[in-house]
Amino acid sequence: MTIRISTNQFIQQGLSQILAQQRQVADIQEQLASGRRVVNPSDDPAAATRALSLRESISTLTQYNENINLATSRLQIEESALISAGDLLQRARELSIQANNATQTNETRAGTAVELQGILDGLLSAANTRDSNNEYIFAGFRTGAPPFVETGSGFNYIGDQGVRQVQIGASRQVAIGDSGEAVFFDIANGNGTFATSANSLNTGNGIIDNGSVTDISSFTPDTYTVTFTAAPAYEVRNSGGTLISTGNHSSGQPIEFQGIQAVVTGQPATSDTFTFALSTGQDVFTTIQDLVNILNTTVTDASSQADLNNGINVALANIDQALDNVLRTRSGVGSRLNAVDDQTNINSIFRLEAQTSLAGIEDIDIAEVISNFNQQLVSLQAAQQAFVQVQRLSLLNFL
Amino acid sequence: MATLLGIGTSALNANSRALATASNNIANVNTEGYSRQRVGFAERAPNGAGQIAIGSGVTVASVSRVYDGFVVEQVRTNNSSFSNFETLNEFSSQLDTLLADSNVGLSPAISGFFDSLQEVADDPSSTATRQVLLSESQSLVSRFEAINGRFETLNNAVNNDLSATVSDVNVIARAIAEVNDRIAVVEGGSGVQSNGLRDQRDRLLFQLSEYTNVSTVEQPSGALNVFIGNGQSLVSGSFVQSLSVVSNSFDPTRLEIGYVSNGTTTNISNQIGGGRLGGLLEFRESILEPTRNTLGQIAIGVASQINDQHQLGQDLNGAPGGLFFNDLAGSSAVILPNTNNAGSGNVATVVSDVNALTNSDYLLANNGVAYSLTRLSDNTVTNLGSFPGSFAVVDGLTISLSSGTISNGDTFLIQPTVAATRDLSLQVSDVRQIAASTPIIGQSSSNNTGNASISPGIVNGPPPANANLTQAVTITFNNPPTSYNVTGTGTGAPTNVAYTSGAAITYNGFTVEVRGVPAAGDVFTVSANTGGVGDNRNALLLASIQQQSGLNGGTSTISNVYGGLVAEVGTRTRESELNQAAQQTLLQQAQANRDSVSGVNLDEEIADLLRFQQSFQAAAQIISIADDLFQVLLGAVSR
Repeated sequence: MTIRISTNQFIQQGLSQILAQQRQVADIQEQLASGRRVVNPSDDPAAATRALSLRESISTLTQYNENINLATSRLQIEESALISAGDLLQRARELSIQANNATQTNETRAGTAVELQGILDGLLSAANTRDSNNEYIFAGFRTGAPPFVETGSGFNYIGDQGVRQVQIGASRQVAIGDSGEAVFFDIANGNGTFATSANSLNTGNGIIDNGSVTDISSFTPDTYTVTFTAAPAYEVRNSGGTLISTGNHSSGQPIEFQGIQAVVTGQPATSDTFTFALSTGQDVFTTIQDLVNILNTTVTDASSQADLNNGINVALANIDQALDNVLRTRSGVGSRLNAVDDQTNINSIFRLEAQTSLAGIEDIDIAEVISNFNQQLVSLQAAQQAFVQVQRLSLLNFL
Repeated sequence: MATLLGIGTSALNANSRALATASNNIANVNTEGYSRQRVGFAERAPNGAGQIAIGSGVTVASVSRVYDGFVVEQVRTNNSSFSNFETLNEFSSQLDTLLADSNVGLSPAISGFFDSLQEVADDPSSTATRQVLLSESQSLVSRFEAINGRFETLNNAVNNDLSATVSDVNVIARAIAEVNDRIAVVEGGSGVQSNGLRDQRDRLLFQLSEYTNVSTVEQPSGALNVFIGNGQSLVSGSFVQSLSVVSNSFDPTRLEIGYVSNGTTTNISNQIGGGRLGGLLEFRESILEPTRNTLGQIAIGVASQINDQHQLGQDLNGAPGGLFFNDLAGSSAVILPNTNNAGSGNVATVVSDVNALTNSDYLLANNGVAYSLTRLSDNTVTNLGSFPGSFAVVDGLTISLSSGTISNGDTFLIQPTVAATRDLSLQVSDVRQIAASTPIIGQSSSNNTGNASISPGIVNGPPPANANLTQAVTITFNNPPTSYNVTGTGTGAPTNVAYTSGAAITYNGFTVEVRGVPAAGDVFTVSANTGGVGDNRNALLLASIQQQSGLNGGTSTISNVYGGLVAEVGTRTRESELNQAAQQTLLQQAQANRDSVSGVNLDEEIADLLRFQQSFQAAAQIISIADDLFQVLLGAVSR
C-alpha cells in the first residue's frame, strides 16, 4: 500500500520501536524491583479483587488466632483455678473422713476445723480468681467485682450466669469461662437426687448415710420423713402426710422405699426422725463452713457423736458433689482447650492456603521474568543497532 | 536564435523554480504538518503559426501540495479517538491506583476496624482494646475522607480541564476562521492553491481533533466549514460560533459544555464525543461519579449496620448504646431541585433500607399526571402512585414532600449516596460509650429441678429498643411443664403458653430460647444486665457484620461491594489502556499513510536536486549554443 516513505517516517518508525522496547524493559524492571506482578488493579482486575479478599481473609484469620491466644490464656487461668479448688476439696474430703474416725477427740477435731477454715479461704480465693486484665473469671458478665462475698449469714454469689464467647473461626465461637454460679454455687447436695439428714433432736445414735437410688422409675420426687414410731419399727410418710411404707430397722440394713434407699447404722430411739429431701443447690463454701461448725461442736455422748457423724456424712456427700462438679468443669475446660488448639491449626492451614494463593496472584516467577528481561534487552539492542545502521544510509554519502 | 534564447531562459527559470521547490522541501523536512510540494512543468505554446510548430520552452504551471484529503481526515478521526482514550486512561488510572493502594485504599481500614471489634469482644472491659477500636474507627473515617478528597480533586481537575479545553477550542476555531478568510482572499476561486495556508489550516484542524470529533466540508471558495458534536457548526467560512462552560441544571458545581448560537446557550454535553472533551465527560459520568456513589453506598452501609447493632447494645456505663457513626442513612442524601423548577416544593429523602440501596442517582419528575422516579443507572421508571400525598419508598429510599408544592414539569435530582463519603464521622468519643454488651440477660433460678437452660438472649432490631426492654420478665413453668406463664411489665402476662424446646420466646423487644426438659415450677428470668462489664455479646454481633451479606439486596458484604468497585474501576482503566494502545497504532498508521503521501523524503529531494541541476546546466548550454550560433553569424557578416 505504501509506496514511498518519508524521511521523518523512517526515523519515527525506528524511534517508536526503540521506545516501545524501552517501555517493556521498564515494566519488567518494575516487576523485578517490587517482586510483584499485579501492581495496579487495571493490570489484572480479577486478580486484584481476589487479592483484596485474600488479604482480608488473612487479616481475619490472624485475628481469629489472636482471639484464640486470649481464649487459651483465659481457659488456662480457669483450669489452674479449678485445679487448686479440686486439690483443696480433695484435702477437705480427707480431713472429713479422718474427723469421722471414732479415735478423734474434741481437740483434734478443733485442729482439723482450723485447717478446714484455711481451705475455705483458699476456695474463696480460687473462686474469686482474676485474669491478667483484672477481670474476675467466675463472675459471669459482672467481671468488675469479686463474685463471691461472705455476708453475716453465709455466702453470696453476686455475679450472673453469663458466659463470654469468643470468635475463633468464621462460624465457631467458644466459651472462655464458666459462670461461678454453676461451678461453685449451685451444686446439687446429697447424692444429687436426694439428700438425707438426721433430726438434730434425735436421742438415739442412728447414723444415716447418703443413700442411693436403686430404681429411679419408681421414685416420686417429694420430701419423705422416716419416723421411728416404736424403735426399731418405723414408718415413711411423704410431705402430704401420706403413709408410704413401714418396716423394722436393724443396724446396717437399708431403709428402702420407692426405688431409693439409705442405710442407718446404730440404734435410733423411738420418735427419732430422718429426712429424705430432694437435692437442692448448695454452695461449696457453706458446705465447708457447716463442716467447720460441726467439728467445732463439742461431743459429749453417743447422741451428739451420732449428730457429729451424721453432719460429717452430709458434708462428705456435698464435698463429693462439689468435687465432681469441679472435675466436670475442668474436663469441659480441657476439651475447649483442645478445641481451640484444633481451630488454631485449621485457621493456620486456611491462612497458609490464602497466603499461597495470594503469592500465586501477586508474586512474580523470578526465573521467568529475568529470562523475559534478557530477551527484551536483546530486542532493544537490535532495534537500536538497526536504527543506527539504517540512518547511516543516505544519498549524500555518495555525492 | 531568439527562440533558442527564449527556450533556454524559460528552462533556466523553470528549473531554478524546481530547484527552489526541492530546496524548500528539504528545508521543511522537519516542519510539522508540511506537505511536500511538486512543480508542475508545462510546455510553452509555439510562437507564430506555421507548418512546423516548435514549442517555445517550458513554463511552471503550478507548485502544488502532494495531498490526500481522505488520508488527512483519517488522521484527524484517529487522533480524536486516541485523545479520548488517552484522557480517560489518564484520569481513571488515578482512581485505579487510589482504590487498591494499601495506604490509601479502603480495604485495610475495613479489616482493621472489624479486627479491633474482635479485640473488644475478646476483652470488653479493657480500656486499651476499646481505645484501639476508637482509633481504628477514626482511621476508617479518615480513609473515607482521604478518598473523598481525591474524588474532589479529580472532579475539580475535570472542571478546570473542561474550561481550559473549551477556551482552546474557541481560540482554534477563531484561527481557522481567520485562515479561511485569508485563503479565500489569496485563492479567490482562481484554482490556485495557497499551500502554506492550507497546511496551516490542517495543523489547526489536527489540534482541534485532539479536543473533540471534527467533521469538515470545503466550500468552492476554498474556505472550510467545521462541525463538532452532532453537526453543530463551529466555523462557517470566516464566521465562528463559540463553546462555553455551563452549570448543570441541577448541580451548579458540575460544569458542562454549552453551545452559544445567536445569543442563546444550549447544553450539548450529551452530543460531544471523542477527543479530550469526550474523554473528560465520559470519565466523570461513567467512572468518577459511579465510583463516588458506590463508595458512599459503602459508607452508608458501614455506618447504618454498625449503628443499628450498636444502638441495641449497652455501654460500659450501663447506658443504652448510642450512634457509633453519624446517622448517614438519615441525613446524607442530596436533593437538587432543577434551577428551572416553577414550584416551591422541597423534597426530603432518607435511606430507610440500606440493603435495598443502590449506587444510582434518581430523577423525580412531575409530568402533570403522575409523579415518577427514574433510576438513572438503568433508566428504570417507577410510578410513585399517591406521592406527594403520602411518602414513596423505592430502592430503600423513603421520599417525601417536605414543604411547598411541586408544579407540573418540575424535576428533582436525588443523590442518595454522593455525599456519604464526605459526611461520615465518628460519634463515639469516649471509650466507655462503646456498647459491647447486651442490656438484658436470661438466667435460670438456682432452685430449678429440671434440666432446661435459657439462652443469654438477644435484643431484636431495628433500633430504637423497646421501652420495656430491661423490665424484669419471669417465665414460670406450669404443672405439667408443657406450658408456662409469663409475668413482667410490657409482656401482657400471658398464661399457659405452649412450650417447645429451643423455640424463640419474644417479649419487650428481646428474644431468648429455653432448651431442654424443664420441671414443674422451674423459673427463668430475663432482666437488666446490671454490672455486666465482662459481657461481649453485642461486640460479637458488631464484629459479625463483616461477614454479613447485608448490602445490594442481601448479596454482598461490605468488602464484596468494595471488591466489586475495585474490579469495575480496574476493568474500565484496563479497557481505556487497551483502547488507547489500539488507537495509538491506528493513529500511527494513519500518520504513516499521510506521510507516505505528503512527507518529505531527503533522498528523493536530493535526487530531484541533481535532476534539476542537470536540467539547469543543459539549459545554460542552450544559451551558450545560442551565443555560439550568434557569434558565428556575426563573424560571417563582419567578414
